[in-house]
Amino acid sequence: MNRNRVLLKLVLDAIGFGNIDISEFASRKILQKKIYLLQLTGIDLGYRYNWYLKGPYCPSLAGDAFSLKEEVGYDKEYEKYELNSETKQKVSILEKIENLPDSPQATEDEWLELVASLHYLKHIAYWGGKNNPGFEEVFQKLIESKPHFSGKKDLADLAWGRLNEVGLIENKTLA
Amino acid sequence: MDNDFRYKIIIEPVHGDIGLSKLETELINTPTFQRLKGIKQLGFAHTVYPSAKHTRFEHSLGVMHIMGRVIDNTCEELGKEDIQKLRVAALLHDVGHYPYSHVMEKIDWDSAKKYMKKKQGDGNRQNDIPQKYPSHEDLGKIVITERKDIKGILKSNGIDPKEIASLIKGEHQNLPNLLNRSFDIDRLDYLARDSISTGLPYGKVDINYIVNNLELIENEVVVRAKARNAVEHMLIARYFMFNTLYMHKTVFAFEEIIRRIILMLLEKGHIYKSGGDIKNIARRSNSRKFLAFHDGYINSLIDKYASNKKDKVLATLCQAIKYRKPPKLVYAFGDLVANGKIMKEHSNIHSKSKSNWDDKVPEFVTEFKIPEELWFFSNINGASFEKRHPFVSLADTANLDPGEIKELVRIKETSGEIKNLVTDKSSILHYLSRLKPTLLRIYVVGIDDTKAQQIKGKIKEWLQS
Repeated sequence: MNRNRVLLKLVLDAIGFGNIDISEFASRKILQKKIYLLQLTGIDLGYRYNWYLKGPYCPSLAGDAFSLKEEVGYDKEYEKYELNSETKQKVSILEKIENLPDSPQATEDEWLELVASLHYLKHIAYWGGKNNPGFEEVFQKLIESKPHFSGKKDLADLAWGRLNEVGLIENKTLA
Repeated sequence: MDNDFRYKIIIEPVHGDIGLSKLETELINTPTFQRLKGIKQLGFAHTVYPSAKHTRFEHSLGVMHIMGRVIDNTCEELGKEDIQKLRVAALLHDVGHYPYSHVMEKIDWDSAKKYMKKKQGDGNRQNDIPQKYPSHEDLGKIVITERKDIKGILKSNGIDPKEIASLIKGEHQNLPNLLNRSFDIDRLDYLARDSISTGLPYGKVDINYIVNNLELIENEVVVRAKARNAVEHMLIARYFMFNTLYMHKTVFAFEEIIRRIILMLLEKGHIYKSGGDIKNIARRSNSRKFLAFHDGYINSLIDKYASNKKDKVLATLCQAIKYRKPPKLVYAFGDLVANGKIMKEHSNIHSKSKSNWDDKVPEFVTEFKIPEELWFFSNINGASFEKRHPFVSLADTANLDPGEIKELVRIKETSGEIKNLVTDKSSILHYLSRLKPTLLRIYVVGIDDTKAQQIKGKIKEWLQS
């Protein structure tokens, strides 16, 4: 198991995917968004995201996760390693982002899809040469491709606020 | 084809006539784009297939040509400006490529150690890991948006360079994303081109029939059912090209050697030290260093260090490249893994060799008096010569949401239903997609056949103990 795979395994352990249970679509979506957000904290795992139906998506992460699931069956190299303290501190930033709001209610995959998508549309996506769009513009853009969020502006506003709290509205990443 | 895209015609062996617009002609004549003539598409494949010297230049033209044909067949409603943007994106998709294509980009920076540590000992965080070389896509974005020649031509033609970069990277919100989506235009060109250049027949796919049977549905390209056989053939062709060309034992060995050379030169500060350095030369509009950043850059380093008397190990490695002295393959293990399960009789050997090599190699170094840097242990399961496995080798492809997987080909049945090819049990791909090749190889540089036989014997003894 090369060290990049070891790191991925340690990260998955830290973010609640230690058993790499990705048999269901919802869990795969959660994994995708968690890694997207985690990388924004400064842990560069090398996964680059495109825009997909359900928000930012990285095909090579999906492939690596499936491969890793197989590898851990016969290769225990990862057991020799642990995340260092700085990395653990960055994981705690992810935990702040991913905490579900009390109200309005949302499922985990819905919340993560929203947070990740707002960030992606704000900082990465190209749409008509727009520079530094604010919440209203980004929300309108979001519901163009994801109309299921059109009645959830309050939730989107909370998600935007959460990103702002950790510094990810002003900055594309915390790295 | 619209006459606007036949301002110039280039004749080439894969597609015949390739038409270009005035804008495209200006772009290919820039020094930045001309740099691609110095980058071989197939890295070191010419060491085995002598005619495999085609470059990223003609491949880029080919991808643009196929993009034009796909647009003609699927995007009737697109305006001329948007068509031009998509074509330009296809033309420039590889403009950020490194010398010898993926060789430099794929070196193992071991950047993971920045984030983790061994449980026992080694408690120090690695603070001094340089910024790794950016991917060629990220470098391409810098080239397109910051280099004066490319940027200037785009802007003077009313095109935002950032928009082209976003199309290449799959970040565009409005235009169909034909470069990064389920149907890989890039692949259609390189399979045919690699096949013709090498003389290998496996990559000769029916491009015309496939392209003529594409449709665009909700911004995704799907293939009509009648072209299914052609698509299956294309995916299987990629597997055979993978085995006979991209993973050929000698081609692969030379590329591993080059990566080792680059790492050694990095440690000594004799090559661009970090990703930041590469980005800087790409950014500087008049930087001749970037224009010289092609295969010749690596060749000159190899020439220089092949006669280095101060570092005999580095010299040995460079001489292996310069004088074509392939390393000896002293161990090879290969398997097609189904659903993650290596064949039982191989699993012990496989896991032993992978996990214990680091501990064993010092013994071999001492016994055979060959420096560690001349040994190569290659776990090709982890290496990626392609962005994807030969098949869509994911364990549970049938469970994947259609929006999840970009490399899966989607078929539109006559009923109108659209499904992933690999979920169709009447398709051979449904069964093949569950297999994944796995390869382990151990090479040694600079030894003769007698020594190689001795080493083979020792390795066999170790693995069977």
